[in-house]
Amino acid sequence: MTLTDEQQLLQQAQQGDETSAAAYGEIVRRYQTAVFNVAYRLLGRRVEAEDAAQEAFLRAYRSLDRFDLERPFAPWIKRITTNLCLNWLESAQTRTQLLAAELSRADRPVSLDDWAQTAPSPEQTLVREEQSTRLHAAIWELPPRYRVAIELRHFQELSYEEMAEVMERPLSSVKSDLFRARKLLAEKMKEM
Amino acid sequence: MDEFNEDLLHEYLDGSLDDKIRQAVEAHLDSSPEARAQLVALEALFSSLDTLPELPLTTDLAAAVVAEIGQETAVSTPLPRWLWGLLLGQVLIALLLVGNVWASLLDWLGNGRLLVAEWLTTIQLPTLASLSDFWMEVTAVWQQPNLPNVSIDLPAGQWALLLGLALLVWLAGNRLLFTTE
Repeated sequence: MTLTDEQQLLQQAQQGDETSAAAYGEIVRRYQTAVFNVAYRLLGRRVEAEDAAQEAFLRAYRSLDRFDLERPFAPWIKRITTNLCLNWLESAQTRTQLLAAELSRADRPVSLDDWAQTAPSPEQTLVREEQSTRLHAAIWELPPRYRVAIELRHFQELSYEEMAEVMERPLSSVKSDLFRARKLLAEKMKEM
Repeated sequence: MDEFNEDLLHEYLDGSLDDKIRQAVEAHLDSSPEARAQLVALEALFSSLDTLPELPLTTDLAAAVVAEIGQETAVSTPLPRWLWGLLLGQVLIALLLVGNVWASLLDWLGNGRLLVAEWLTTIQLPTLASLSDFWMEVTAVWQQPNLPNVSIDLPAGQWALLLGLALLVWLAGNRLLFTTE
C-alpha cells in the first residue's frame, strides 16, 4: 500500500518518537485555518476560537494512536473541534465569559477588516463581505444547538445520521434543530 | 400534495427524500407559488452559507501545539543512561557517608531510645508503661548487634574533596549542571 504524504506524516506522528511532534506540526499547519474557522463559526470570538483550535489539535494528537490512517484527517479533527466547542458553549463558565465580553465590547466579534485579506477585489467584494459579516452575526445569534446543526450540515457536510451521532441526540431532534436553525437564519438575514 | 410542510423542502434540498416523496414535492412546487418562494429563499440561504469565506488565521498554531507536545513528552521520556549512572554514583557516595557516621548514629539513636523509655516509665500510668514496652520493642532494631559498623578515616582535605564531588554529582543528577536545557 502506498501512503500519501499526509498518511506518512500521520504515521510518523503516531510513532511517538523525537520526530513525531515535527510531523504533527506539519499536519497542524495544513489544517489550522479550517479548524480555526470551525471554532470561530461556533464560538464567535477569535481568541476563544484560536484556543479551541489549539486544544482540538492537542486532543487529536493524544488520541492519534486510535486514528485509522485509511480515513481522511480533516473530518476527524473538525468533529473533535465541534465537540470541544459544543462543550464550551454548554458550560456555564463560557456562557458567562461570552456575555461579559459582549457587554464590555472589548473584543469585537467580527469586522470587515478581518475578511479584507481574503477579498480579491475590494470594490466588487464589499457587498459580499457585508453579507458574510451579517451571516456570521446571524449564526452567532442562534442558540448553540442550532449553531452546531448549521456547522455540521453546511460546513462539514454531514448526513442527518452522522449529525445525530456527533450531537448524541435522536435523529428527529437533530433534523428539527437544523430546520428551525435555517428558518431563524433566514428571518435574521431578512431583518438585517 | 395533501400534507406538505416546509420541512419537506429542507429534506428536498438536502437530498434525503426517497424518489416517491421527492416527485410529490416537485409536483407541489409546480402548482404552488408560495412553496416555490419558500424554496427560493432557502436556496439563497444555502448559497450564502456555501460561499461564506474562511477567516484567515493570524497566528501559527503549529508552533504552540508542537511546544505543548514537547513538554508533555518530556515528562514521560525515560531517563538517559548517563543519568542513571549519576544517580547510582549519588547512592554510593550517600552510602559511604552514612557508613562513616554509622557508629555515632547508632549510639545517638540508642541513647535517644533509652531516654524516651525512661521518661515514659517515670510517668506512673499503666497505659504509659505498656507504651514504654511497646516503644522498646519497636525500636529494638536500632540495637541490632550484627549490623555493620563501617567508618572511613580521611584527612579533612580529602573529606572536602569527597563532599565537593558529591555535590557535583547531585547537581548533575538533578539536571542543575551540565545540561543544555
